[in-house]
Amino acid sequence: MTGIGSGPGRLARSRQGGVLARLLRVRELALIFALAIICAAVTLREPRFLESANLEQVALSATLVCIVALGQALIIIARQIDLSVGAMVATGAFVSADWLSVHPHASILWVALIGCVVGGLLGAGNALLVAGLRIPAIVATLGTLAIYRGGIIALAGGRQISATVLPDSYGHIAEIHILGLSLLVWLAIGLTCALGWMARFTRFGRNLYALGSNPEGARFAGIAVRRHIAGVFILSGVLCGLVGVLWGARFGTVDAVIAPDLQLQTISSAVVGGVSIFGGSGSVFGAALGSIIFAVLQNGVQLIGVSQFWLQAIIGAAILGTVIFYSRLARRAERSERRSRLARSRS
Amino acid sequence: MPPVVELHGVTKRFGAIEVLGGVDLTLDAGRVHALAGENGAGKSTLVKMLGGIHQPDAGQILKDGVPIKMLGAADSQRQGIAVVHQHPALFPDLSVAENVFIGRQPRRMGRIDWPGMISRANELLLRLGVALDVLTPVKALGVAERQAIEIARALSINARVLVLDEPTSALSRREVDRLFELVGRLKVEGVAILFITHFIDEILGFSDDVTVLRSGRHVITAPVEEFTPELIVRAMIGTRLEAFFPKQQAKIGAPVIGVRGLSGAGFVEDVNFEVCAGEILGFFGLVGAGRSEVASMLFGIVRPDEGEIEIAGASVRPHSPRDAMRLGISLVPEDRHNQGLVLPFTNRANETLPVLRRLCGHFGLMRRDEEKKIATDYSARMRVVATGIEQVTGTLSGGNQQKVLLAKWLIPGPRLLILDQPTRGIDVGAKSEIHRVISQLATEGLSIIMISDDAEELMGMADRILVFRNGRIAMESRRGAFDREALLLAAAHAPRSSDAQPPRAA
Repeated sequence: MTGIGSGPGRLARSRQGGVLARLLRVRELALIFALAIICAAVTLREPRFLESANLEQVALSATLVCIVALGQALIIIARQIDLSVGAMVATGAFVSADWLSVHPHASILWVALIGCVVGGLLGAGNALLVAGLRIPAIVATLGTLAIYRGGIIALAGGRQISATVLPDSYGHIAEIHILGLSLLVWLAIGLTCALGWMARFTRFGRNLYALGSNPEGARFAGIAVRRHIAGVFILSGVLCGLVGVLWGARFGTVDAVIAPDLQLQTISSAVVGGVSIFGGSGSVFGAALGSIIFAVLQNGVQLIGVSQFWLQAIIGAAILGTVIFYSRLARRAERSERRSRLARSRS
Repeated sequence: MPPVVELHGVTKRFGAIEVLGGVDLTLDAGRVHALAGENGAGKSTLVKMLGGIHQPDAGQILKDGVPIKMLGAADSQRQGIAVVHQHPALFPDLSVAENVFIGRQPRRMGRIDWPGMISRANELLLRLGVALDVLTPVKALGVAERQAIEIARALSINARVLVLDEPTSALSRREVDRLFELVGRLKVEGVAILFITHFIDEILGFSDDVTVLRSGRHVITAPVEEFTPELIVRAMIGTRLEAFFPKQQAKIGAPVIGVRGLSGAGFVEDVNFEVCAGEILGFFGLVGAGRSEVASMLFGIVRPDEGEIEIAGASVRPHSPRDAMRLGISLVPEDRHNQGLVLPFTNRANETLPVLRRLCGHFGLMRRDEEKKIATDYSARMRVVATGIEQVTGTLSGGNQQKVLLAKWLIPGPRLLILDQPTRGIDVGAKSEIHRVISQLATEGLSIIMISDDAEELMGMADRILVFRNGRIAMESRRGAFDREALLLAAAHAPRSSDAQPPRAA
């Protein structure tokens, strides 16, 4: 509700409560606050966390999840869900890497384009099912998750495309640094800002919030609901295809079973980032922050030497904790809204 | 000058059912045209046609004398037709300003012009005389304010036609007056207004022309001066006109429940009353006056802060609806769809829901025969019109759903039945059937509390009426001494607005 994504509403509404409560009401600030606490806690136990090599690892692992989470956030805001993102990333990665192994001298931009087109086509498949045939998104993408994943496994036939058959230039993308930050990280930042701007300042973006908030109302208000839903699924597909290409560049090796849990990671990032699972509220910035929080948690747990198994439990606790926090916050905000409205109407 | 909008012989079928058959309608600039008809008469379909949601299967829609085709809500807006649908189609998470301009946000260089949108929203609301912070999310607003936003939306497209689909059913009297004042201003500006309502006094008091539909057919169109309430009702329901409120006088017995000094729910204060066997006690008042709050305290939904509830001489404290049911209290809630019924269930399953425990036999299995027998009995007593007890409740008309709901809360065998707005949103024919059932129950010795916004309805049904205002009982009136004006005055009369508001607990 209160977020950068909800437009300038936040400016007018911080009337009550102390400074801290007021700041916490802007979800993104609360998230940055939480992130700072987590970083401080990890650093106290293990100062190596702050070494630049480690921070770079954290940033890189956040990057790939983050870009997919941006699309996922927009989809959830529109009251849909995309479970097929992991399979779309794997397909995009394998097809583009396979093409590159046959055309080793092609420009890297061509590879990126192929990844995006493949992803876009797969996203269009989801769009067709959800917007065209009106199949509930959770069912439709559960189906395409299996189809896309099964299809690419069959196509790959167990093959692995490793760094030895791929041109060096491919792997180099991940090593390009600008102002000390990896190109991949810059790409994620750029996409976050671009999509954040779109969500707030374009009709397409605001209409996504509207139809997530009240789908029937959106239709009655003359919004082309199905076109918007189709658009956001295709967008998610394109982002997945792009991430597939980056995936190969970062890890050097691509096979058909990469990114098996990506749908859960991206949904978690969006939810922890304050995107309401019921649609209509939240922001892509929140989802980006959510993906960073998970990357930090993962890295911190490894550094401190806690068992990997605990990581799962910690992530689960983080999800539930934030959701409980938000729902209490929302209830408080609603109560105070109602009170101030009453006071206004009395005066 | 041709009429702004004309419908010529429009017909609409859903499957085999013809919901509109060759209907004509003319909307003139600067006139309010009321559309009346029972539920299922085709009013909402007609509204959706004007809103571009449905397209006619036959017939024509003319705008300024030129035939037009509208393939969606956006087309209808482009034609200058603004529709305020029955359930406000707003976006709870978005701000007031965005709700006004959704789908048509002002843009500058490809991006939404937020400052421009905010100032234009402010302007529109000012024109309507509504003071609202346009950056408030709509979910924090009340029904009346939401309706004002819908009307602001209509203004923002410079509507030449404004369609209001039952705009008043969720509003209190005062809010209705405000709405009419707003619409009146638009009328003066030359907007053609189509106004759909269940309330006959609103038709007579507010419109210039009246059209009545019955079962998808056009019955009559004439200037309002030619109508009387009886004429409208007769046109709506055809030949099966019954006495409006067929109350049978019941024998009033000993007190069943007594309430003393009841306070709580934030603002209810010092409420005292008794209900006797066979008596129908009316609760009248504006929405938010405390009527429903008293009911929820009796039914154990809200715990009172102070006061005593006595049943058959013993003091009781219902802590939950389950407790209250055990004490012999049933509450038929106002909101049929969310609180009252499980719409995908069959009538049988809905009716026996509160008594499943009693219907359980060996190993917790249901005694199906007994369940069927009970459901059949009560469906017949309530005169539910359905294919049988196995029809899905959601497929019934509103009036029949209400009868199923009544059956559901009579089956536990209550001593006191509380009815919260039992005829809201129900067509005239079904209304008088429900009145007859209620009256019948009273003659069988049941105590009944009936909450209603409709003074005439209570005057027809109740033995006594309590008028609530600001959480207190403002007036009590007995049958024979009922006076409509006195009731309304007691409910709505507030000397100064500052002490009109109940002192709500923080």
